[in-house]
Amino acid sequence: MANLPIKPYITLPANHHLIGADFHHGTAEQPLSNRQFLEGFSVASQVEIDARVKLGGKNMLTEALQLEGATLGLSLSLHCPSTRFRITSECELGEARQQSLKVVAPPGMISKEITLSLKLTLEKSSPKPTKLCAKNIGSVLWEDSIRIQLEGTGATFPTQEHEFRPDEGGENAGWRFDFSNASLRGHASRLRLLVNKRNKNFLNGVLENPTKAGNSEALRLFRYAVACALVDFCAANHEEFEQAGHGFKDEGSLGHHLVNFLKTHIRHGNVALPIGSYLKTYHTDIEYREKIRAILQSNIQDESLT
Amino acid sequence: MSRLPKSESDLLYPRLELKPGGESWAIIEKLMIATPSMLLDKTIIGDLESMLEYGNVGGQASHSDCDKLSEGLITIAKQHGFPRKPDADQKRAADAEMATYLHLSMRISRNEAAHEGVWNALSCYFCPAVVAWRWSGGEEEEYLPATDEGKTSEPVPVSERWFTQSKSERHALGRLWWRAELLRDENAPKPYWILSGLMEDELVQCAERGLFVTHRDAVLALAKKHLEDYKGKKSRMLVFRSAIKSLRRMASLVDLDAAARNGTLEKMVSTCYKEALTRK
Repeated sequence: MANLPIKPYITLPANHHLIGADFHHGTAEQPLSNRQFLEGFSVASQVEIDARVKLGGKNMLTEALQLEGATLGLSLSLHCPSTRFRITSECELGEARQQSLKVVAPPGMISKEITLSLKLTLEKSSPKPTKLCAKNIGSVLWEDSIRIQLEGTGATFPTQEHEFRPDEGGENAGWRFDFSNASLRGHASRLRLLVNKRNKNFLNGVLENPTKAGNSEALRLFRYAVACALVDFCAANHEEFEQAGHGFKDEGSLGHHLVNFLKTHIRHGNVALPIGSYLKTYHTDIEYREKIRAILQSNIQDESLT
Repeated sequence: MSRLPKSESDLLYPRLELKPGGESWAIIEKLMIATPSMLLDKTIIGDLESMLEYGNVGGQASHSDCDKLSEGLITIAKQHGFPRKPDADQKRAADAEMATYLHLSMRISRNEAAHEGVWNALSCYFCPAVVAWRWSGGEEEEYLPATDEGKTSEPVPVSERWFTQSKSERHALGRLWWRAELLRDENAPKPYWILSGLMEDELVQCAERGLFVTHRDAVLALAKKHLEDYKGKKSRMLVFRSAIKSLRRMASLVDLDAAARNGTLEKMVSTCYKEALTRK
């Protein structure tokens, strides 16, 4: 720690048994996981994140950190790298075994991806400091963080209303992708999801009232079909993926977003599957394609299909 | 996720998506070699208009709104010598004024400003004369980010000033708006003081440091400290660079928000700056 006026001090690892946290989107019961998509994000919406912290007891924590008598604090921060927006909320660590903190990102302030980070910090030093305990106010004693992709942002996935002509299915058609001018190295807005302005049942029913009985299942199937269409597109362009070695360097390019999409949805548990070879085989082998669709179904968290 | 009406002050701006080698590249090449005066009319760039598009959610800034924005920028440029090639002082002063002007005039959310196409449309279609004037002659040595050893790093290609490629913070106009947005001191009588107070490299250090720039209290405290305390023979740029590096290192161990809450932030900043001044 050359050049820093801070001496080494005791911290806790992210997976320590005395402290752990789940991040939740609003009041959702299901916790968010690293690199997950936050569904239904819109630039006109605020995003509310709730961190639920489970503690093994304040005294045990201060003992583990050799900070008896000190005041500790919890801080939750939401950071968006592309808009450089950050918002934080904090509270003092109390005796309760569970504490929660909430941050709200106002409309228009975030884009593409956010990082959620929870920290345990030193707010007031211990009256009996040990040689190895943290002494500087604000010292980070424990930290956990996850990254979340915002699904539906303009840059990632623009959606546009479009009047479908008879040769596009007419008024009964629901949606289609517009891949015009779309290349994996181009900007993501080249890819657009067009929803049929003439299909009021689809627009006003399924999309506007997703919680209404029957609509939620339709919406899940819609999401699955959209995901299939994206994988079809990626497979049709699998050579570009291979040439780029799956690591599209241009952040914000269509390829960059699609690689993120594939990493999120073509995986087994926490293990990402080899996207390149999957896409190549998908293109030529129908049975293989069906297996990938089954993987998509399981990862899109589509209860109606499981 | 609750739905809120979008702020009335936010507008969507025209976007121009470009990539090297694309159809529009030939137009961009013409722009980069044209003189500022040539670009006051839109003969060269006419074909780009059909490529302008808008985002989906929100009201739109019209093309005439963008033309007015361009007129304001040209007025500022003229006060600093436009169309003659500007010297380093003129560039610095014009940058500060243009950043303030863009920030006060554009009704744009951070989400919209994060779309590179917005800045590409302004630089290549609406305000090319200003970009050509500001970046005429390419990069000057004094504006290049230098390493700690004082060596000059590779120049940024001028094309990156015209349209965003790998780093959005290099765009001629986008960088100005973001600086004003990120470094505005809301509690000061002159909220944009930092833009005229710091030198180019110092602003780059502040505005382009990812998570660090979001700790506005720390950035402003360091800038104030630098402007008040800098003295001596050591390069001003290197002192600032060294101080910000120390502070960023410290921020990985100490939560700057907690330090600000508990009143120890200024002491931290002071320690880092003193150390930078005395480091050999």
